[in-house]
Amino acid sequence: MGFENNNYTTTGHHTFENRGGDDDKHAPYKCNDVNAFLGRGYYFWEDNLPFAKHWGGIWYINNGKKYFVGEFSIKCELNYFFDLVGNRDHQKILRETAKLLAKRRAGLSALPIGKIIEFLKAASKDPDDIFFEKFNYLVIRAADDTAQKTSEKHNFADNKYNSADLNPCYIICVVLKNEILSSGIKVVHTSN
Amino acid sequence: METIDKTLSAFEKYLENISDAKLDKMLSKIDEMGIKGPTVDEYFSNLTDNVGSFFNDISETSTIADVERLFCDTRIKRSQKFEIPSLPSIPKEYPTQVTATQDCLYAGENTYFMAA
Repeated sequence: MGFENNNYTTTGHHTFENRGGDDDKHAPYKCNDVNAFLGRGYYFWEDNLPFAKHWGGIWYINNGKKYFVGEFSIKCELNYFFDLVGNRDHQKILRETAKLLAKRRAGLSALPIGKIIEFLKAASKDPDDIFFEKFNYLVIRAADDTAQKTSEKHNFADNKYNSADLNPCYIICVVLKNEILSSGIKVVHTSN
Repeated sequence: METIDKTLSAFEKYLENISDAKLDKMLSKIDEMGIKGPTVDEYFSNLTDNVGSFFNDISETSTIADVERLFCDTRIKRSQKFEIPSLPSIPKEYPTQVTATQDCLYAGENTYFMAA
Protein backbone atom coordinates (compact mmCIF):
# COMPACT_ATOMS: atom_id res chain seq x y z
CA MET A 1 0.00 0.00 0.00
CA GLY A 2 1.10 3.55 -0.61
CA PHE A 3 3.91 4.67 -2.92
CA GLU A 4 5.96 1.77 -4.21
CA ASN A 5 7.71 0.85 -7.48
CA ASN A 6 6.46 3.94 -9.27
CA ASN A 7 2.86 3.14 -8.37
CA TYR A 8 0.36 4.31 -5.82
CA THR A 9 -1.80 1.52 -4.44
CA THR A 10 -4.62 1.89 -1.98
CA THR A 11 -8.08 0.72 -0.98
CA GLY A 12 -11.20 2.59 -2.08
CA HIS A 13 -14.65 2.44 -0.50
CA HIS A 14 -17.50 3.13 -2.89
CA THR A 15 -21.03 3.80 -1.61
CA PHE A 16 -23.89 2.99 -3.99
CA GLU A 17 -27.64 2.42 -3.92
CA ASN A 18 -29.10 -1.02 -3.24
CA ARG A 19 -32.12 -1.18 -5.53
CA GLY A 20 -32.79 -4.81 -4.76
CA GLY A 21 -31.31 -6.27 -7.92
CA ASP A 22 -27.75 -7.12 -8.83
CA ASP A 23 -26.48 -3.60 -8.27
CA ASP A 24 -23.23 -4.85 -6.80
CA LYS A 25 -22.40 -6.66 -10.06
CA HIS A 26 -22.22 -3.36 -11.93
CA ALA A 27 -20.40 -1.26 -9.33
CA PRO A 28 -18.62 1.07 -9.25
CA TYR A 29 -20.99 3.65 -10.73
CA LYS A 30 -19.78 6.72 -12.54
CA CYS A 31 -20.59 10.08 -11.02
CA ASN A 32 -21.65 12.69 -13.56
CA ASP A 33 -23.60 15.08 -11.41
CA VAL A 34 -23.27 17.80 -8.82
CA ASN A 35 -21.22 15.52 -6.59
CA ALA A 36 -18.41 15.24 -9.12
CA PHE A 37 -16.12 17.39 -6.98
CA LEU A 38 -13.05 16.29 -8.95
CA GLY A 39 -14.74 15.97 -12.33
CA ARG A 40 -16.47 13.01 -13.90
CA GLY A 41 -15.37 9.59 -12.75
CA TYR A 42 -15.79 6.82 -10.23
CA TYR A 43 -15.63 8.05 -6.66
CA PHE A 44 -14.15 6.37 -3.61
CA TRP A 45 -13.41 7.27 -0.02
CA GLU A 46 -9.81 6.25 0.44
CA ASP A 47 -9.69 3.39 2.95
CA ASN A 48 -12.49 4.90 4.99
CA LEU A 49 -15.38 2.51 5.60
CA PRO A 50 -16.78 4.57 8.51
CA PHE A 51 -17.14 7.63 6.30
CA ALA A 52 -18.51 5.58 3.39
CA LYS A 53 -21.25 4.37 5.76
CA HIS A 54 -21.80 7.86 7.12
CA TRP A 55 -22.26 9.18 3.60
CA GLY A 56 -24.59 6.28 2.76
CA GLY A 57 -26.71 7.23 5.76
CA ILE A 58 -26.99 10.83 4.63
CA TRP A 59 -27.44 10.22 0.93
CA TYR A 60 -29.55 7.03 0.93
CA ILE A 61 -31.02 6.17 4.36
CA ASN A 62 -32.22 9.72 4.95
CA ASN A 63 -34.02 9.48 1.61
CA GLY A 64 -35.68 6.16 2.42
CA LYS A 65 -33.24 4.07 0.36
CA LYS A 66 -30.75 1.30 1.04
CA TYR A 67 -27.10 1.15 0.10
CA PHE A 68 -24.01 -1.00 -0.23
CA VAL A 69 -20.39 -0.14 0.41
CA GLY A 70 -18.03 -1.89 -1.97
CA GLU A 71 -14.30 -2.20 -1.44
CA PHE A 72 -11.88 -2.01 -4.38
CA SER A 73 -8.13 -2.16 -4.84
CA ILE A 74 -6.76 0.86 -6.66
CA LYS A 75 -3.40 0.89 -8.38
CA CYS A 76 -2.06 3.77 -10.45
CA GLU A 77 1.26 4.66 -12.03
CA LEU A 78 2.56 7.85 -10.45
CA ASN A 79 2.68 9.57 -13.84
CA TYR A 80 -1.10 9.31 -13.95
CA PHE A 81 -1.80 10.18 -10.32
CA PHE A 82 -2.84 13.80 -9.68
CA ASP A 83 -2.48 14.16 -5.95
CA LEU A 84 -3.91 17.25 -4.28
CA VAL A 85 -3.19 15.74 -0.88
CA GLY A 86 0.53 15.15 -0.86
CA ASN A 87 2.02 16.66 -4.01
CA ARG A 88 2.85 20.36 -3.77
CA ASP A 89 3.49 20.56 -7.52
CA HIS A 90 -0.02 19.33 -8.23
CA GLN A 91 -1.51 21.78 -5.76
CA LYS A 92 0.43 24.53 -7.50
CA ILE A 93 -0.85 23.45 -10.92
CA LEU A 94 -4.43 23.74 -9.70
CA ARG A 95 -3.89 27.10 -8.01
CA GLU A 96 -2.06 28.58 -10.98
CA THR A 97 -4.47 27.27 -13.62
CA ALA A 98 -7.32 28.79 -11.61
CA LYS A 99 -5.49 32.13 -11.72
CA LEU A 100 -4.81 31.81 -15.45
CA LEU A 101 -8.47 31.07 -16.15
CA ALA A 102 -9.49 34.11 -14.10
CA LYS A 103 -6.96 36.20 -16.03
CA ARG A 104 -8.37 34.98 -19.34
CA ARG A 105 -11.92 35.85 -18.37
CA ALA A 106 -13.11 37.61 -15.23
CA GLY A 107 -16.19 35.40 -14.95
CA LEU A 108 -13.97 32.35 -14.42
CA SER A 109 -12.47 33.58 -11.17
CA ALA A 110 -14.46 31.27 -8.88
CA LEU A 111 -14.79 28.04 -10.81
CA PRO A 112 -15.24 24.92 -8.65
CA ILE A 113 -12.33 22.51 -8.70
CA GLY A 114 -14.40 19.91 -10.57
CA LYS A 115 -14.99 22.33 -13.44
CA ILE A 116 -11.34 23.35 -13.63
CA ILE A 117 -10.34 19.69 -13.81
CA GLU A 118 -12.87 19.06 -16.58
CA PHE A 119 -11.51 22.12 -18.42
CA LEU A 120 -7.94 20.82 -18.11
CA LYS A 121 -9.04 17.40 -19.33
CA ALA A 122 -10.80 18.92 -22.34
CA ALA A 123 -7.85 21.17 -23.18
CA SER A 124 -5.54 18.18 -22.96
CA LYS A 125 -7.51 16.15 -25.52
CA ASP A 126 -7.09 18.32 -28.58
CA PRO A 127 -4.09 17.07 -30.63
CA ASP A 128 -3.91 20.40 -32.46
CA ASP A 129 -3.32 22.38 -29.30
CA ILE A 130 -0.17 23.07 -27.29
CA PHE A 131 -1.72 21.60 -24.15
CA PHE A 132 -2.29 18.19 -25.76
CA GLU A 133 -1.80 15.32 -23.28
CA LYS A 134 -0.58 17.68 -20.57
CA PHE A 135 -3.35 16.65 -18.19
CA ASN A 136 -4.04 12.99 -18.79
CA TYR A 137 -4.33 11.78 -15.23
CA LEU A 138 -6.28 8.65 -14.43
CA VAL A 139 -6.62 9.07 -10.68
CA ILE A 140 -7.22 12.33 -8.80
CA ARG A 141 -7.06 12.53 -5.02
CA ALA A 142 -8.08 15.35 -2.70
CA ALA A 143 -8.75 15.90 0.98
CA ASP A 144 -12.28 16.75 2.02
CA ASP A 145 -11.53 18.87 5.03
CA THR A 146 -15.17 19.69 5.56
CA ALA A 147 -15.79 16.00 6.34
CA GLN A 148 -15.14 16.21 10.07
CA LYS A 149 -17.15 13.13 11.01
CA THR A 150 -14.20 10.75 11.21
CA SER A 151 -11.31 13.16 11.63
CA GLU A 152 -9.07 12.71 14.65
CA LYS A 153 -7.01 15.76 15.41
CA HIS A 154 -4.09 15.35 17.78
CA ASN A 155 -2.19 18.28 19.19
CA PHE A 156 1.53 18.22 18.44
CA ALA A 157 2.52 19.42 21.87
CA ASP A 158 1.11 20.65 25.15
CA ASN A 159 0.01 24.28 25.19
CA LYS A 160 0.04 24.50 21.38
CA TYR A 161 -3.09 24.69 19.31
CA ASN A 162 -1.29 23.21 16.28
CA SER A 163 -2.50 19.73 15.47
CA ALA A 164 -2.45 16.97 12.88
CA ASP A 165 -5.47 15.07 11.62
CA LEU A 166 -4.53 11.40 11.89
CA ASN A 167 -7.68 10.21 10.17
CA PRO A 168 -8.40 12.67 7.34
CA CYS A 169 -11.05 12.06 4.71
CA TYR A 170 -9.61 11.60 1.22
CA ILE A 171 -11.68 11.47 -1.95
CA ILE A 172 -10.38 9.52 -4.92
CA CYS A 173 -11.77 10.00 -8.41
CA VAL A 174 -10.87 7.26 -10.89
CA VAL A 175 -11.24 8.56 -14.43
CA LEU A 176 -10.90 5.23 -16.27
CA LYS A 177 -11.80 2.30 -14.08
CA ASN A 178 -10.55 -0.57 -16.23
CA GLU A 179 -6.95 0.59 -16.02
CA ILE A 180 -7.01 1.39 -12.32
CA LEU A 181 -9.17 -1.04 -10.39
CA SER A 182 -6.96 -4.04 -9.88
CA SER A 183 -9.56 -6.27 -8.27
CA GLY A 184 -13.27 -6.94 -8.33
CA ILE A 185 -15.71 -5.61 -5.80
CA LYS A 186 -15.91 -6.91 -2.27
CA VAL A 187 -19.14 -5.81 -0.59
CA VAL A 188 -18.13 -4.84 2.93
CA HIS A 189 -21.37 -3.29 4.15
CA THR A 190 -25.06 -3.71 3.40
CA SER A 191 -27.46 -1.28 5.04
CA ASN A 192 -30.71 -2.45 6.63
CA MET B 1 5.28 14.16 -17.00
CA GLU B 2 6.96 17.47 -17.65
CA THR B 3 7.90 19.97 -15.04
CA ILE B 4 4.99 21.99 -13.73
CA ASP B 5 6.45 25.18 -15.17
CA LYS B 6 6.26 23.70 -18.67
CA THR B 7 2.73 22.50 -18.00
CA LEU B 8 1.63 25.91 -16.75
CA SER B 9 3.37 27.69 -19.59
CA ALA B 10 1.60 25.45 -22.10
CA PHE B 11 -1.73 26.11 -20.41
CA GLU B 12 -1.13 29.85 -20.46
CA LYS B 13 -0.34 29.74 -24.18
CA TYR B 14 -3.38 27.54 -24.74
CA LEU B 15 -5.61 30.14 -23.07
CA GLU B 16 -3.98 32.96 -25.03
CA ASN B 17 -4.59 31.20 -28.33
CA ILE B 18 -8.05 29.78 -27.77
CA SER B 19 -10.82 31.79 -29.42
CA ASP B 20 -13.69 33.21 -27.39
CA ALA B 21 -16.10 31.02 -29.34
CA LYS B 22 -14.17 27.84 -28.57
CA LEU B 23 -13.80 28.84 -24.92
CA ASP B 24 -17.54 29.48 -24.70
CA LYS B 25 -18.24 26.06 -26.20
CA MET B 26 -15.95 24.28 -23.74
CA LEU B 27 -17.40 26.12 -20.77
CA SER B 28 -20.92 25.43 -21.94
CA LYS B 29 -20.23 21.69 -22.09
CA ILE B 30 -18.71 21.76 -18.62
CA ASP B 31 -21.64 23.79 -17.27
CA GLU B 32 -24.03 21.15 -18.58
CA MET B 33 -22.40 18.63 -16.22
CA GLY B 34 -23.78 20.63 -13.29
CA ILE B 35 -20.65 20.14 -11.23
CA LYS B 36 -20.60 22.03 -7.95
CA GLY B 37 -18.23 21.88 -5.01
CA PRO B 38 -15.52 24.06 -3.55
CA THR B 39 -13.51 26.62 -5.48
CA VAL B 40 -9.72 26.41 -5.44
CA ASP B 41 -9.56 29.14 -2.79
CA GLU B 42 -12.11 27.35 -0.64
CA TYR B 43 -10.27 24.04 -0.97
CA PHE B 44 -6.95 25.43 0.17
CA SER B 45 -8.46 27.59 2.90
CA ASN B 46 -10.14 24.46 4.27
CA LEU B 47 -6.78 22.71 4.30
CA THR B 48 -5.40 25.39 6.59
CA ASP B 49 -8.21 24.46 8.96
CA ASN B 50 -9.44 27.12 11.31
CA VAL B 51 -6.10 28.76 12.01
CA GLY B 52 -6.98 31.23 9.28
CA SER B 53 -10.32 31.91 10.84
CA PHE B 54 -8.62 32.48 14.19
CA PHE B 55 -6.56 35.27 12.68
CA ASN B 56 -9.38 36.61 10.54
CA ASP B 57 -11.62 36.95 13.57
CA ILE B 58 -9.19 39.35 15.24
CA SER B 59 -9.60 42.99 14.36
CA GLU B 60 -7.53 46.04 15.12
CA THR B 61 -9.73 46.79 18.10
CA SER B 62 -9.70 43.29 19.61
CA THR B 63 -9.00 43.23 23.31
CA ILE B 64 -6.92 40.64 25.11
CA ALA B 65 -10.16 39.10 26.32
CA ASP B 66 -11.42 38.80 22.71
CA VAL B 67 -8.20 37.11 21.61
CA GLU B 68 -8.23 34.78 24.60
CA ARG B 69 -11.82 33.76 23.86
CA LEU B 70 -11.07 33.15 20.16
CA PHE B 71 -7.89 31.26 21.00
CA CYS B 72 -9.81 29.10 23.43
CA ASP B 73 -12.67 28.53 20.93
CA THR B 74 -10.16 27.52 18.26
CA ARG B 75 -8.53 25.00 20.55
CA ILE B 76 -11.88 23.57 21.56
CA LYS B 77 -12.84 23.08 17.92
CA ARG B 78 -9.55 21.47 17.05
CA SER B 79 -8.99 19.29 20.07
CA GLN B 80 -12.50 17.75 19.94
CA LYS B 81 -12.46 14.78 22.28
CA PHE B 82 -8.93 15.40 23.51
CA GLU B 83 -8.02 17.24 26.65
CA ILE B 84 -7.45 20.93 26.20
CA PRO B 85 -4.32 22.18 27.92
CA SER B 86 -4.81 25.18 30.18
CA LEU B 87 -4.27 28.57 28.64
CA PRO B 88 -1.11 30.43 29.52
CA SER B 89 -1.52 33.42 31.77
CA ILE B 90 -1.54 36.88 30.26
CA PRO B 91 1.41 38.99 31.37
CA LYS B 92 0.27 42.05 33.31
CA GLU B 93 2.40 44.44 31.29
CA TYR B 94 0.39 43.85 28.12
CA PRO B 95 -2.15 46.55 27.31
CA THR B 96 -5.83 45.73 27.38
CA GLN B 97 -6.19 47.02 23.82
CA VAL B 98 -3.86 45.68 21.16
CA THR B 99 -3.20 46.24 17.51
CA ALA B 100 -3.20 42.82 15.94
CA THR B 101 -2.35 41.79 12.43
CA GLN B 102 -1.73 38.34 11.04
CA ASP B 103 1.97 39.09 10.70
CA CYS B 104 2.60 40.05 14.28
CA LEU B 105 0.45 37.52 16.10
CA TYR B 106 1.97 34.53 17.73
CA ALA B 107 0.27 32.17 20.12
CA GLY B 108 2.96 30.30 21.97
CA GLU B 109 3.52 28.68 25.30
CA ASN B 110 4.04 31.84 27.29
CA THR B 111 3.42 34.59 24.82
CA TYR B 112 0.33 35.85 23.12
CA PHE B 113 1.92 38.46 20.93
CA MET B 114 5.32 38.77 19.40
CA ALA B 115 6.40 41.31 16.83
CA ALA B 116 7.49 39.71 13.56
